[in-house]
Amino acid sequence: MIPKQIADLDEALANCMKCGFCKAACPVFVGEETTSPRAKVRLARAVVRGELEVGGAFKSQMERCLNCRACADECPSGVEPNRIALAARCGLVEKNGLPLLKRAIFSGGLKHPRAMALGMRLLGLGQHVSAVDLQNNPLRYLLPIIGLRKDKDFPALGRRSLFARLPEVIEPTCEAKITVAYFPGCAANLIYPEIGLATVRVLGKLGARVILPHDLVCCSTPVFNSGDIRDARELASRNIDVLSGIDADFVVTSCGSCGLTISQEWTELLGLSEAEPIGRKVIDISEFVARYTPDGGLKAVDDTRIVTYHDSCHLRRGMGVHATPRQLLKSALGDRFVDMELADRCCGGGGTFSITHPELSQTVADKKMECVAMSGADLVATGCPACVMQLRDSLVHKKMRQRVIHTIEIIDGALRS
Amino acid sequence: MKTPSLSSSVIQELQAIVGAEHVLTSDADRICYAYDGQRVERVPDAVVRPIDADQISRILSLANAQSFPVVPRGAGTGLSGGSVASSGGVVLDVTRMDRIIEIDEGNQHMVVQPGVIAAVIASEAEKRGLLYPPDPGSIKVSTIGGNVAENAGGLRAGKYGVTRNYLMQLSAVAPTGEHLTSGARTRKCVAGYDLVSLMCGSEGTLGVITEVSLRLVPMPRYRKSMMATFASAAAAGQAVANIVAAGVVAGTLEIIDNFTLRVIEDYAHLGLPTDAGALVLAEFDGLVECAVEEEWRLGTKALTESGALSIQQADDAGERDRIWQARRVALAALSRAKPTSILEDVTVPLPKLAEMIERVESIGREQNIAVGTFGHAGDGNLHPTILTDERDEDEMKRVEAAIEQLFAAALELGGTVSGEHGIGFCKARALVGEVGEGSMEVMRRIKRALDPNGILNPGKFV
Repeated sequence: MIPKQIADLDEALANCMKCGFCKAACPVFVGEETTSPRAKVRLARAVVRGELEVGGAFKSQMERCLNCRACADECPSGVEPNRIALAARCGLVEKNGLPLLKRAIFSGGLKHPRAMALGMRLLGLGQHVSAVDLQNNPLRYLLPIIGLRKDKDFPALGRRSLFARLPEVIEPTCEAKITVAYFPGCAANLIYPEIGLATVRVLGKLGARVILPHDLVCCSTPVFNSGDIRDARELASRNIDVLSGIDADFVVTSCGSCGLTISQEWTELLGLSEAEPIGRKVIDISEFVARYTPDGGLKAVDDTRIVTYHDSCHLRRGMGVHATPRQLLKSALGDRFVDMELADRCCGGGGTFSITHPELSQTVADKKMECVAMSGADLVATGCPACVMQLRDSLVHKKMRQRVIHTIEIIDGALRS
Repeated sequence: MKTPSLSSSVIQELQAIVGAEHVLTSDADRICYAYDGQRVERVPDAVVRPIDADQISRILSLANAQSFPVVPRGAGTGLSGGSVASSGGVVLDVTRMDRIIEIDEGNQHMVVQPGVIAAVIASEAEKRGLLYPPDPGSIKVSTIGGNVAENAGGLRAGKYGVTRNYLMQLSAVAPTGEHLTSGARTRKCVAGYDLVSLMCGSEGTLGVITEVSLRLVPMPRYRKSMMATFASAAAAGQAVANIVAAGVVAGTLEIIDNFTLRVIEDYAHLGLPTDAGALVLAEFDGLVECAVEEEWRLGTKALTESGALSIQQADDAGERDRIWQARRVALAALSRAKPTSILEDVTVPLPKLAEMIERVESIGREQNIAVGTFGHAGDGNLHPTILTDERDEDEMKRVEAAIEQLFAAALELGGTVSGEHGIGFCKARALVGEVGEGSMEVMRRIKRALDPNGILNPGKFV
């Protein structure tokens, strides 16, 4: 049986003229034609035409995609191979279900954020009480068994979440000019609360009253990317319920993936038309800063480090945000901002991709590391916490000295209150 | 899908040559090596991915001993089916051979393996102030091996020539397994038969290219672009012919007809004059500023005298970029207009360019199909692009008829059915019409002499 999501794509499949231009852009294309975006389109077509069984080879090629959208950008005919691979994954999940671990996380943990926060606190406490040294732990020798590198960099777990640190309404430091809802996403809430704190501080300095609803759950990006549309819809619907009840001028995001998903995917991919009014209000924090910072509002940061910028795929190709963060960084850093080569090339993170395809993810990251090294930068700024995680892990792996932070952390330091 | 006809012992021998992981036999892999950039597909029995010339030689020897076809392939972006296994057998993928072996700035040459991507060659040259001029539309993905095998052209051919003009030396493996090298890393070489020319454009039928030494030229330091509008495409074509006849050599000289222009504007919103019958885009480049200025002035004069309705010059990089953006997105814009786009590459002598353009337009009207024409007018090379839907059988019949008529018109005007895409199996019949039975017989004899068992890329034009 042909999974419905693939059969529905007939028109998109017919539009591919097989020019192969997508191969130039794809970070996971490694020379074998079968690994190219064009091949994904062709293989989906083969399944629709009944030339190919929906078997292991098909599945593994469809899963071999970071959904970085570079192929779609390159395609002369407007075909989105990433979308076709995603549809195929959805069809496969509908047919075969999800792997056990993903099922547990997507339909369990992600829907119960408080339980997840508690679970992560307990894990963190465990790390702390047993005085586990994360970097030099002998248990690391067991990591290759589950396919991960021995020197895999784990973010410290069990930190106090953003929701635990901040109330649901945060008044600005000056007179409130505007009200925004802030959607921090899982990473800025649970893993890197400092990104969430910096975002809220910046919003406050710019005169925004911030609503931070503690009922928000995962935006659903990792869930639909794994092909699980049903759980993704449920997560999105819960967020839509929360956000619909708030009278805010904007929904601010500090994560390219959350921003893209809320502004576009809830409506387009998940088919939730009620998300549209919320989607229209989405603004990335860098765009918000650019719009609401008065002239001269950014002072030069007192720091001598050279900074480069990595484009989050979803921020750049999904939300169209790429010039603004660079302009802000230039304002704050002057000549100490340098663009790196292939800044818009995926870092290889891809959400759960770095766990399901550790070696390939690393190969993609290695290329990024070369570009970071060549840029001469001491610090890499980026607009997505998922990229922060991947870049930090890769730097550890490559034993490189550079540090990674979110763009907003630099802006926070540069913005006058 | 056809079950593979290669015996398991042949597969094992191939695995012994290149390593098991470099022999692909799954249905999924075979489907992905069944195509290139044109429509016709043929599923091979297996794919083999060698790492050096020795492995290629052993594969070809095995093919002769066991009688199976071998079809060389680079990135698979060709537009005439050159890398499609028309009668099954093994696709020989050279993309693992992707090393740049040497770059000599003094002698201005670069030695590369066949799997190096053409754009990488161009950018490595550029880093050293040098230019590798051939720039086929597929440059960002196509390999130099494929570019040489198809003798790829591009936008700069009028002034700089095509791939053949940049080949100093070439190594290949003959169909029977012998290693051959021809040419030298010199600016002149007449030692023996010119096997470089024999291999270049042979479309993978006479040998597998394993290494090429490419000539590089100094990077032009000055560029000046302009865009002119004309009342009709034919008038624009005549103007282009007049520029060339006036003795002015443009680095790039392109034409875009009204149909294509409107599709581009709909797609990219560049503020193009959509009421114009056609556009001529020209760029003059060189090492000396005053020479570029003078060429630009003479070119402008020729265009004005040829009835240009308006001429817009690009004074800075931004303006220049905007002009060329129109040309860059032409194919994208056309291919988005309809599901299937068929890109032809008929080429005629310059004095016949205007007439060829008129013929294209009347063929489109007669067959009631949508045709957008753009192309490298400065070298007489047009890209009439037929927009259709291959699922519409009735229209596809008219499309086939139109293509036949295009070929006939090009030949009648003293041109060629293919300026840069090659013959493959797509234009095999048209080739006979162009070169005649006598030439075909000579080609067949050459093929038999080099490939007595007919194992290398059979089923193509010879």
